[in-house]
Amino acid sequence: MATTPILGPIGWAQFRLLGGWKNLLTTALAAGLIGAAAMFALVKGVRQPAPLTFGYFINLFLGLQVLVLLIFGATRASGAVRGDMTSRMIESHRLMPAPPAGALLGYLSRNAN
Amino acid sequence: MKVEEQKLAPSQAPSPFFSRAGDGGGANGPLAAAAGATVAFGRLLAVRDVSFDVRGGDLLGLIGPNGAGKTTLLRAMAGIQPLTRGKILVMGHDVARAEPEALRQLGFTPDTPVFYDNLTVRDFLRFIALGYGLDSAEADDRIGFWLEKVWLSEKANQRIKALSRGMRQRVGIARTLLPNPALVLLDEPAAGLDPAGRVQFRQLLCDLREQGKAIIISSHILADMEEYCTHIGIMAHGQMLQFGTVAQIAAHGDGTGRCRYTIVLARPLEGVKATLKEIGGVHAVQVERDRVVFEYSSDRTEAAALLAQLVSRQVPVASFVPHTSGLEEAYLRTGIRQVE
Repeated sequence: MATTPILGPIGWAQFRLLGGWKNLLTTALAAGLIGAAAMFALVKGVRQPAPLTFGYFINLFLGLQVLVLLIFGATRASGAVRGDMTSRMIESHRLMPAPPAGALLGYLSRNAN
Repeated sequence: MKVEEQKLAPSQAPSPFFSRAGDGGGANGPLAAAAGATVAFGRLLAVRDVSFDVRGGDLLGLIGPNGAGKTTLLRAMAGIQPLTRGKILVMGHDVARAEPEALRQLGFTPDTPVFYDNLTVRDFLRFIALGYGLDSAEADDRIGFWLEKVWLSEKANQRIKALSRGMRQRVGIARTLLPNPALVLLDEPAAGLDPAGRVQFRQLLCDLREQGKAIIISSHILADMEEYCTHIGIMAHGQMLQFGTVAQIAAHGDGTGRCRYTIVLARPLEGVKATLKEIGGVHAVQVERDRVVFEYSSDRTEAAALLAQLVSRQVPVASFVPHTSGLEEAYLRTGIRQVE
């Protein structure tokens, strides 16, 4: 339960629902490998100085981050809230003496997973 | 009172996770109180002006037909259903304000408990423990304790979606009791339980009652309710028609001094209804082949005189049974006879 202080109970539940550490590490490793392979291929394939190519990657990764957080992340968070409302799980959350802000952070943390 | 005093077996001795209700608050006052609680859905009044209170050690059974307002009342007590009028207090805190102090003291199991089905039983209960601010070690201890109590230790690492309805019901009960609430609200908790589960559940309720918790339970199984409840509330059309101890409800009923009788005839007899109606004091006669049900004075001497009259009028009485002092009888006396 080491993730609890950061995510709160709802975030922890979402983290477990998405596969927990195993899934997070696998996904991170896969994304890292794909990113590294792409960078390696581009640096080798493009005829320009490597530092310049790496500079492009900074912009690319920033763009990806924005895309993930704003679109993909928001969709996942709203989907989780909607799912809990449909299943009435939200009522179980309401019975808990946890602050609403904690619940909000918990749903938002689904992005990070 | 009808409630049998049951002592805790050594294995069910109080544990830190099963401690007396009201520790740290409540004193001798009611653990929960409803004052003029009213819930309206548009024009429909689901709960009308219901007032009562429960104290530690009270086990209130809510009975009534479908649509009587039992579930809505329980949801309102849990703070999930907003009240249109009135107030509900849990240990002095207004549940409508969702104050953490009130939420910590109440547990609610809906008729169909909901879970994160893809979590294991243990992980789901861990999630609940986290929501109540329990630390990791205490959470694990409590989870182990309650899983054993509801016979689910072997299923701890199984995903909830793989559990049967009865097992899900037990997880729901464990979820409710895990934070050790002083007020326990249970909506049809025994519906999915097998016979052994129901026996065990009855014992669990008695243990909780012994621990001084206040429990409000809705159920259609009147025989069970009569066995373990201390108080009964009969509801219909959103109103609390009767409220009192089981003994008060069952013995005094409507206060008319009447009760129902069932006569079984040796053979079906035409005109038996007319014969009975000729006798003064006999009401609500229903005949079904060789079985006759009617209302008459609950006085034993008068009942004996009635039996003598029937025999003298050549009615072939094979058995003559008065129905007295039963919860089912009290329920039927209210006039609620069918699902609405």
